[in-house]
Amino acid sequence: MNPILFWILAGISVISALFVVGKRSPLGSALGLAICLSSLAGLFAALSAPFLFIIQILVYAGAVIVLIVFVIMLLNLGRDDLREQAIQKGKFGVSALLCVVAALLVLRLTAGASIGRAAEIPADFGTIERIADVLVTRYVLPLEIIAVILLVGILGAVVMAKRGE
Amino acid sequence: MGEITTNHFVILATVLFAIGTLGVLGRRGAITVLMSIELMLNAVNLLLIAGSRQWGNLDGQMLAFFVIAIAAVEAAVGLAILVAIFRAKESVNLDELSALYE
Repeated sequence: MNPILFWILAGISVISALFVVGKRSPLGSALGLAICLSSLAGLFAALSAPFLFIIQILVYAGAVIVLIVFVIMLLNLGRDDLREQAIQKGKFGVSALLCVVAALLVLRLTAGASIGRAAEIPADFGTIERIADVLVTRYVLPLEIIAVILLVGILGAVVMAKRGE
Repeated sequence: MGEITTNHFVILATVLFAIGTLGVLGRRGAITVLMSIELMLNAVNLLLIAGSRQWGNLDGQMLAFFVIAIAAVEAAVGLAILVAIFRAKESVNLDELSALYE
């Protein structure tokens, strides 16, 4: 893939991810998350996954973000609530140290591994046709289970969010 | 700027996952923590799709598809729980929601 495209999208996604954890107001975090998910969708498209590119935009940058923003508006946290949620320097610093150490450990372990060149793939790799070929044959049982989980999740969300009498 | 290989995607996914972990560990607002979890799930998705491209195998993309579906359910249920907690306690500050911990 094009190196310039990769570095631009990777930069945007990392910076907006830092926005998600760094902003005090949840709405700012939600904006960062939307930008991050969109730039990741661009990387999916560059990795020959056009179907997941569409799904990412529709489900994540669309539905999930709308849901999160809706709940933020619904709760309507005041200035005092947000001040309580401000970053505690000590706790955040220790967490940051832990995460950096863990990430460096993972990178150190994977740095030496050479996995060779990417495989040759057909031109229609990852298109809706190819995905459908696998989805409704080999993965038909997980697909059905996902359908049931979605149904249960929707019903559960409605029951929990309903005002108790 | 050399050629982009799968290793670059491994590094990017690791960085994004670490940032998400930082949000889960270091923040107190429950909504921000939920958003950080979404971030972590997306880092894993990126890794799965990069692996799928590397080996020319659609299984990784299928798994990422299922992860996206589960993440959508998780967001819906998690936010519903959050709304219910906010009704009961008038707060979404995780430090105050310690009834099961004490």
